[in-house]
Parts: sequence; structure tokens; C-alpha cells
Amino acid sequence: MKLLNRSIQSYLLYAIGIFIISVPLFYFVIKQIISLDVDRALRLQRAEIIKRIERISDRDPFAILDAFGPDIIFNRLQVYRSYDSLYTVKKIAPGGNHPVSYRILESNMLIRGLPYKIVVQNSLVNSQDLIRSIVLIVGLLLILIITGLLLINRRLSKSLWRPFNHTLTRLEEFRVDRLEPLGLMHTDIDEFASLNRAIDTLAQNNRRLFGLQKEFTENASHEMQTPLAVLQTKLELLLQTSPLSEAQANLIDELFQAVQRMSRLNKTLLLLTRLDNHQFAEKEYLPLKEVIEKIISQYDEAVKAKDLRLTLELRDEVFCYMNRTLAEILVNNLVSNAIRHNIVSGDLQVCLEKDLMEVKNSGQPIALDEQKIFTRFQKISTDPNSIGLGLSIVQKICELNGFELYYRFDEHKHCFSIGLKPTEDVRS
Amino acid sequence: MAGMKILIVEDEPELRKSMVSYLSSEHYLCDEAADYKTALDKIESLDYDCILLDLGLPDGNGLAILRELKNNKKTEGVIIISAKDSIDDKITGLNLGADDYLSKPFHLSELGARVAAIIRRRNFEGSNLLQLNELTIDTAAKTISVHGTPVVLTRKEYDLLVYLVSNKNRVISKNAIAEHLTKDEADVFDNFDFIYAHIKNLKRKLTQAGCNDYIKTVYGMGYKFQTG
Repeated sequence: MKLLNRSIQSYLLYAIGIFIISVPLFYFVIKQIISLDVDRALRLQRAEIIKRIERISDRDPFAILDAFGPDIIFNRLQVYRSYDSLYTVKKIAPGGNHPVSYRILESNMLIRGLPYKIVVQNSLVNSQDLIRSIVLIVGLLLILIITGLLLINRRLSKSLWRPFNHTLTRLEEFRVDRLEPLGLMHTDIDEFASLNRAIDTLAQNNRRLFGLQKEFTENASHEMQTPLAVLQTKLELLLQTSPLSEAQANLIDELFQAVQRMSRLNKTLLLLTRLDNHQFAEKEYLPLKEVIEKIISQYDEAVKAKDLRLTLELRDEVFCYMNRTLAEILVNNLVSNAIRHNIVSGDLQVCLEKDLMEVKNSGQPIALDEQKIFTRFQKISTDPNSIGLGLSIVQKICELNGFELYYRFDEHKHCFSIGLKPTEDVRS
Repeated sequence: MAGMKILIVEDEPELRKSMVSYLSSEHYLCDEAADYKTALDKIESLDYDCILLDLGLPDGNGLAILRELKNNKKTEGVIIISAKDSIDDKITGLNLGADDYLSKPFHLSELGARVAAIIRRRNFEGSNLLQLNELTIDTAAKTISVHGTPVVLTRKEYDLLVYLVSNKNRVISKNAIAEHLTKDEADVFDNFDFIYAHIKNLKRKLTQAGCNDYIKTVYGMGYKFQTG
């Protein structure tokens, strides 16, 4: 639930509560006020009548009473009995069809010593209409206020929260390895402004640390190349010395292997930092079939050595807009893995379709742990030549080019598939 | 090949020493420079057949030396040696007239082969024949003959032979051969048996054509093309 909806929920509940209570309350209060008003009016009317009757004392009061209209009734009484009552009845008004409420003041009075019964009545139709109108207007007003509140709220949520939503989108897109500024929106709202400041500082620190780490890896790898070169060349010179015993030769050979592994590891690390640095910006329309065939031809020796059954199903005219070196590394790493982890007389299949590239190979009859294979330095095999970086490089290249990389174990074969983003060749 | 002058521009003394030591045994005359200034002085005053140039010099970029060579219309063969292994450097270097590019760490035998190739290219213009007693290698046509009779080799066997000959009388490790023959793909092999197969075939073809058995195995860890 949105924060704003949560707060409006409380407001809304409060408003509805007030609405429910206020409309009947209003109704009764107004009704009461009007009824008191009517009663006072009736009494005033009665007093007025009596006053007028007493003023025209010499004439028969009944002669003028008709002039008071139908709402005033005089009746002569035989005996005077004190009586005064106010009540409401429903009756049909003259000329009407429906019963209408009347407020009636009925009282016995002595006028010039003679007992009379005076009835003063007032139709309540007008007052009831008034009450109804007032209540209706109040209700309408309340509904207007509530809907107005909701609308204003929704508009506010769009405008007020815009900086926040913008910050959120930018954060979702934030990549520690990219250099473009976060570009948070300027805002007048203090809370958001300080949030943006905090996020900006955090992002900058993260990027700085990431940059330092990258720089360290790159420098370390570079600095390592020269001592490695010294080590390797000295071993070669040692190899030239004589007399050289077989035991010494074997030791040198083993040292050679170790140096080789280290320098390969080093080169791979360098490649990874370069990938992280986006140093392969030059792109071109690459015919993937050619790239695959070139790489495969480089491995003919290894394929022969392991007696692998090589199957190529390569479709023509599949072009990808990407860096050539990266494409070659991508194919190379998948193919070299498929050869290295293959069994003798096993299978190696490479397929290329419009938007899919697959490398399948036989090997260990168990599926690999998908969680682990793309992790750096996660060695899947005990092969000392495997340094556990090949697949994470593949993954990184896929990521840079927006390709999808999957692994599956299917019919006893390990299969790596890449969902390509093919493009039409612009040259043709 | 004897008497060819090589200038080694490299700031790391141990690496320089290794290169000098290896190349001197091939009877090249090696001169050394540890920094940009020394290298420039030497290039200006002497003519070399080949210059091995480290790009990461402490007092100036090695590429500046290349530019200097180009400006002075010097025609030395240049092999760039770089710790950076960066494609940009490689392309810039080759565009500035360098002949080859080798990234650290490298095998001395690989360096030997590259130097030999450059010197061959520079000194046997018109004739690309490499004569070793009864063995003749035509590096332009990539063919060989023994006592004048052509011997048909596969591409790999030919590469292997030239590599061995370029480093003759020195032990070459199987590692170096594997890397040379397969470039960066040497790590997919469980073992280097495939080299053994190529060597065996090469030896058989050469001896059948009446060539001496120059190729010697060194304790199963390397090979040597022995002429003396």
C-alpha cells in the first residue's frame, strides 16, 4: 500500500464518520430549532389575535374573526376551563390530497370575561421542505469535500512524490561500475532533498571504492606480468644449462606449468577488469558463423587429441552488433570449456540459429550447479588448467551485450545457450 | 644469422639479462637500453637489425621511440614487448611501423622465433631460403626440401620445424611449443601428447627423405634442434 493511501485512509475514515454522525444530528437540530420557532410563532399569533380582539371591544369578536383566515379557529365555550396544549397532527389541507403535518396551538381563554377556545395552526410543509433541503445541501457539501480531498491527494501524490519516484528509478538503474552521474531531481521538500544528498554521497562512495578496487586489480595484474616474465625466461635459461639431469628437467617442467597457470590467471583477471571498464567499445556487425568457424578451427588439434565428434549446425547470415574481440572470447571460452570438460570420444555440438547460440558437450554425467558455475573462481572440475573464470567472463560479455545466458543438462549433455540479439547487417 | 645487431629496450634488468643471454647464444650481438633516453641515443648513433621495445618505460612511452624511428626513416625491425596486452597499444604500435607484438610473459623461444623471422625478412629479400646443411626451408612458399627433393609437410609440421630451427641448439619446452602451435588455446589440453605426435611425424618425414635426425628429445620435457 502506498504511503499516501495509508494516510488518506485515516482521513477518509474520519470524514465518513463525521458524515454519518453529522447528517442525522443536523437533521434533528434543525428540526428542533424550526419546531421551536413555529411554536413561538403560533404563540405570538395568538397573542396578536387576542390583542386585536380586545382593541375592537365594542363589536362582536366573531364578526372580525373570519378575517384571520382559515388557520385560526374561535369557538365559544360554555364554561371556562384552563387548557393550553401544543401538538402536531396530520390532516388533509384544504385543496390538497395528501395528509400534511400541522402544528396546532389549542388553548382556552377568557376574552372580556367570556370563555373561548382558540386554535391556531400552522402547516409544517414549508419547514419540512426546508429541513430536507438543508440536510441535502450539507450531505452534498460533505461528499464534495471528500471527493475533493481524494482528488487533491491523488494529484499531490503525483507531484509531491515525483522527486522521490525519480530517485527510486535512478537507484534501480544505478550501476556501481558505470560512471554516469546519478542525476537526482532538485526538490524543495527538505526530506527528499536530504534523502537525495545521502543517496548521492552513498553512490559516490560506492563508485569510488569500486574504482579503487578495480584499479588495484588492474595494477596488481600489470605489475605481476613483469616478474612472471622474468620467472618464465629464467626457467627457459635454466633449461639451456648443462649438464641437466632428468630430475632437474622435471622440476623445471613443473615450474613451467605453474608459471603458465599464473600468467593465464593474470591475463584473465586483466580481461575481467577491462570488461568492467568497458574498454571494448568498438562495435561492428559481426557474422557469427565466421567467428565460430574461426575459433573451432583453432581447436582442431584438441578435438583430434580427444577424438571428439564435432557437429556444427551454423546458420548463415546471423549478425550481431558487438565487439569482435569479445565475440571471439565468448565463443572461445564456451568451446574451450566444452573441450576441456569433455570425455574421450565424446560429443561437441555448436549450433547457431537466428537468435540463439548453443554449445553442447558430453562430460561428467551430473548436471552442474547453476548457482555456482558463473561465480568467479568457482571451479567445477579438478582440472588444474581450469581457473574458474571462463564462464564468468562469458556471463559478463553476455551482460554487456544484453544477451541471455542459460545452462541446462539435457540428454546427458551440458548445454550452454545464449539468447542473441541479432541485427540486420547494415552493409547488405 | 651471426653478427646481427639487436637493441633490447627494457627497464626490468633481470628480464633484459634473460633476453640478452638467450639471444647471444644464437650469436646475435645484443645492445641494451634501460630507458627512453639511452634508447634514443643508441638508435640515433647506431643501426640495428632488430629492436625489442618495451612500451612501459619509466621515463617515456615506448611508442615515442617508435615515432622517432618513423620520423628518422629508420628501417629497423621492431618487436613491441608490452605488459599491457592491450589491443589499443598493439594497433597503435603496428600502425607506427612495428613489425610484431609480444605480450609479457613470453617464452624466450617464442621471442627467438619472432626475431629470426624479422631478420630473415630483412636480410633475405628476394631469396627466402634458409639453408641448414642438407635441409632447405623456403619461408616465402612455406615449403622444405632435403637434398633438393621437396618434402611435403602439414602446416603444423612446417610451423614446428621453423620454430625449432629458429631456436636451434637450444632446448625448447613443450609448453612453449604448444603455445606457439595453438596460440592461446594450449590450456584445453590435458597433456601435450599432440606435440609428440607432430614431432614424431616430422622426424619420420625428414629422416625418410635422407635428412639427419636433428630433432632431439630432452627428458620428455622439451625438444632441441641440434646442428652442432
